Parts: sequence; structure tokens; C-alpha cells
Amino acid sequence: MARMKFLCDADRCIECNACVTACKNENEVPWGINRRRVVTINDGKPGERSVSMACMHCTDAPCAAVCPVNCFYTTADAVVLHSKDLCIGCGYCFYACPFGAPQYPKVGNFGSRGKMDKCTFCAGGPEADGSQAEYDKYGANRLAEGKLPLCAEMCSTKSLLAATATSSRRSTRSAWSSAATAPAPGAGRRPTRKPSRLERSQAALRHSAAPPELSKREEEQGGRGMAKWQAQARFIIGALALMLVVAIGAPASAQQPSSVNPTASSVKEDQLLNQMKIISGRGTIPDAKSYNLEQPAGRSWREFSQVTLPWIGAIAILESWRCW
Amino acid sequence: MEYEGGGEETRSNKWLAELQQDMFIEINPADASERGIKDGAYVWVTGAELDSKARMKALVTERVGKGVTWCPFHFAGWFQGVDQRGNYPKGADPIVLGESVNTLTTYGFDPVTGMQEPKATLCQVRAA
Repeated sequence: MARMKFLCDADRCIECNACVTACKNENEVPWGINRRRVVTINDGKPGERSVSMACMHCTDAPCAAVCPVNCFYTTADAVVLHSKDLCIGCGYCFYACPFGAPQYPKVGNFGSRGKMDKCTFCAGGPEADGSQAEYDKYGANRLAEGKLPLCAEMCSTKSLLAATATSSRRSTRSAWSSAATAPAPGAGRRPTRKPSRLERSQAALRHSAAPPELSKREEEQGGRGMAKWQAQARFIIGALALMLVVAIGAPASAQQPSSVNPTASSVKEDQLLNQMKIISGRGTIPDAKSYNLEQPAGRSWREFSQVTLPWIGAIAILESWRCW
Repeated sequence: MEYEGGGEETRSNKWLAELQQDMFIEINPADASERGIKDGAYVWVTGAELDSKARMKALVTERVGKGVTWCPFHFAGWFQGVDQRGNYPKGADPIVLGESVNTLTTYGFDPVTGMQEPKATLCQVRAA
């Protein structure tokens, strides 16, 4: 099954904002909503880099996890879409998203929000593919026509690419090397390249996100097992469960991304991300929030929901049994 | 930079106009702090001749060195701080208006070729 992903090489982006404009043109996005934006970090200094940012179509999307009306769904192509019929514009997903992807139109006084709008990977919405209703709400459905998102198709330096995740490394490499041999001046610099900083940091984030899921699952299984035995020997099981939690707790904490990491460069990148907590740059859109390349909300939410909250829950359950 | 030429066409395009809504002057952080100028705040830029002045936003950045500023030439529609939107023919006004940098540039020219000097001038910046 295809897993569609965007990949932006910060070394190649020239901050021309063509992706932003292409997106607005193709999807008829109104003034004030930018599904895609370009952020420049280290502006004017050595090492200046620009990155085009939009919805990253996460595999385990934080927006979907916090949505109170479950308006998000993932398509067969692993594109994260949402239903504007269900959306209530509460804004939770904006705080959960590390990349600031969800956008809201202002619909009334006191800054009240309308239905959330975000990058759809040019894949429309829940309505019938290519229907007018779909276009009005979500914009073009290019994926159904066999086309890739227009932002990536239009990128003049082939910095922004859209492809399936399994083939992205191969296809990006061929796209980049073909761009390098193209006659356009300044279009490409190198035929072969190392993974960019962004790719390395994404790899590091993926690596660090896996272990907490595992520990959560183990604890849920522990909780179900205990419930079955409850009627027969409450006190003994309570004591056993306490030992079980301690036994699980030790390996779970050992699984936390503290020291283990396969590549030295991703260690540094991950540490850097965690130290700075928020990565901010300069953009052109008159909305200061959009200059944040990555905000810590997503990461801290993930930590809380997958590590802290299960622990609090487990302890609360055990305590309530003990008191009973 | 989102605009082209004098910008009358590109500033009339809503998708481009949204990305750059104000005329600006790039100024080095050292110069800006000497003058008490904050990023995004309005400044008055004065030219070398005829008491020319222009009101625009400051973009405090290290893209330019100390003692040097830079302005785009894609804006028009304001003159010395006054919005001239009402003087456009009906329906012809671009979405985004701004001070034209030509207000500030000098009448200097090359004495041999007669070519004007529209790209560089002396200026001073102060917080508005």
C-alpha cells in the first residue's frame, strides 16, 4: 500500500513561495488561510535554510488523536484527511500539531473559528472524488486523477517532492539528480547528496516516537488481565498487579530515547530539537505563528498521552482497588 | 520577493498580494537598535534631495550589512505617508499599496551616457 509523503530538501529551497501560490491557486484557498508556507531559519546568516511546510500526513497523527469529534481519517494512500461536516472548529488539532498545519477561517466576532482547513495532499475530502461539493470544501482532488500535489509538481528546484514513502528515497534521488543535469542555471548543485538535515531529524523523531507506543500497549493488556481476576482474590491480585507495573515500568523506562540511537548525526539533531523546543524562522505571511517551523505542542502532547497519562491511569486504578 | 517590476499587476493578484502586504526596508540589527527601530514597525526613510521622505515597515535582518539598507521597487500607491488609493481609476487599484522607492532615489545621472542612477541613493532612517 502506498504511503504518500512530502519531502522538502532545505538545501535546495530558494524561498520563492511558488508552492504557496500554487496551492492557493489549485485549491481556491481564501485569503488568510495558507495550507503551505515557507519558513526561513538563520535568515541573513551563514547557514540560512528555507523549508516549505504543510501537513506532514503523520502515520500516527496527533491531530486525529485529540479531535473530539473524530473528523480525521487516513486514506488508503496514508493521507490524513478530515471532514468539514464533522469539524466543530475547536482548535485542538492546532495545538496538537507540531507543524502548525491546521488553519481556521475567522467567521465571526471575538475571533471565533470556522471549520478547520489544512493541506489535503491534493486528495480532496470524504465527498465523491472530483465532485463539486468536494472541490468547494477541500479543493482539488488531483490524487484521484493520478496527479501529485501541485506544490511539489511546481517546485522549480525540485526541493519539495511528493512521493510514496517506500520509494521516496529512490525517487527523490533520481528527481534531484535529473534536476542537477537539467540545463536550467542554478537548478541543481550536486548529483549525489547526503540525507538533508530535515530528513535526519525526521528519522530521529520517528525513532524516538516508537518506544512509548509499546509501553502503552503493555500496560493496557496488564489492566485487562487484572479485571478478569478481580472477583476471586482482590487483595492478592492487587499486590501482583503492583509488582507487574513495577516489572513493566523498568523496561519501559529503559526504552525511552535517552542514550540509544543508531546514528550519531540524528542524536545531535534530536537533542537540538529538544533543547530549543521551538524552531522559529522568518516567513512572509503576516501571521507570526506561521514562522514556527516546529512547535513543541505535538511532542509534549505525545509524551503526556502515551507515557504520563497511562501511568496516572494505572496508579489510579490500583489505588481505587486497594481502597475498595 | 513576490512581485515583478513596478508590481501593479502582481500586487493585483490576491495570491501574491497576501504574501507581501507592505512596503519594507531591510535594515541591519545594529542600525536598527541605534535608532530604536523594531522589526515590523513603521519607519520614515528620508532621501538626499528635495526633503523626500517615505513611510514603510522595517525588516530588521542581517541580510544587509551595517550602514546599508535595501528596499524593493515593486510598490506604489502611497506618497510620503499618504494613501493614494482614491486617485486610482475605479476598480484599477491593486490589492496592496505601498510607498514607491522612487520617491527617495536621486536625480543623479552618468554624465557620459546620460543614464540615470535609479538603483542607489543616500538615505537616513528613523522610527515613525
